[in-house]
Amino acid sequence: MTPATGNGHHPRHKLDEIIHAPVRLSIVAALAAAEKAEFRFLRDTIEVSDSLLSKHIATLEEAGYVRVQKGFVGKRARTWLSLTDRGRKAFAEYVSVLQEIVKNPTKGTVDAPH
Amino acid sequence: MRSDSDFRAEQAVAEIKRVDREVRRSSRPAAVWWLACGIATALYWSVMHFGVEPLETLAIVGWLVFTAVSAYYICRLGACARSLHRLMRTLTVVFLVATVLNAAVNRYVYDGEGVWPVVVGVAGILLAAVPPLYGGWRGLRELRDPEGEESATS
Repeated sequence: MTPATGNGHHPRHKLDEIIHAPVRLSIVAALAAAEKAEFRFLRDTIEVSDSLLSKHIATLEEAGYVRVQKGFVGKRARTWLSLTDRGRKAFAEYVSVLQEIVKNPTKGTVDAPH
Repeated sequence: MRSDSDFRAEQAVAEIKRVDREVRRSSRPAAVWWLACGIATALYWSVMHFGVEPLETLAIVGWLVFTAVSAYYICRLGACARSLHRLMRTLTVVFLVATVLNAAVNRYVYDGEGVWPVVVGVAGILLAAVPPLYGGWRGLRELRDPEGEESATS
């Protein structure tokens, strides 16, 4: 069961609070579109600092949503990230809840955790 | 990227679409590489099957350069779109099989005389070059900007 943002009847309560933070949403959305993505690509696409990105990746990794692979290309260390099956499923559920909210625009505002 | 606490569903959907577009954009060089690979393969096997020295040596050197540049080019890719990754797996297998077949053709078929070695050679070239060219074209088509097309949120 994915962590949701509340217990009410509004669809927003079904939003996964791990994904529903601006930076983490961007990370998960990028990894959902990609088979895998490089750390620097994510940093540049999401426009965040290395440390903030690392912090959010750690949260997603802890939740079992993201897989981190480290390697070397020549002498340079590279970090590759991908979504786990659990992360992919959680994102699919998150998107379906979002669609539900968008269909009812009067109820569209949701608070995001930082 | 914002860090507002008031995060609207529409904004979330827009962000998902934006990031999806970025991943597609970043994956396009891989599709372009397959097109280049198709052209390089056609040239290489044409020379190896029907060319004479010093063209053959030139083709081998050219292929080594192409391989080295490809390794550098591919290592610089930031992301690989899922649709392209699936396509690439199939293409890689077909490409390797075609390479082995062409190597066998080059080694054994050209001992013979007549028209049939030419037919086999041309068939080998097509077998090696068409899949990467098709893959590159299809990859670029799948990686087009999804504006108005089906995307992760529709």
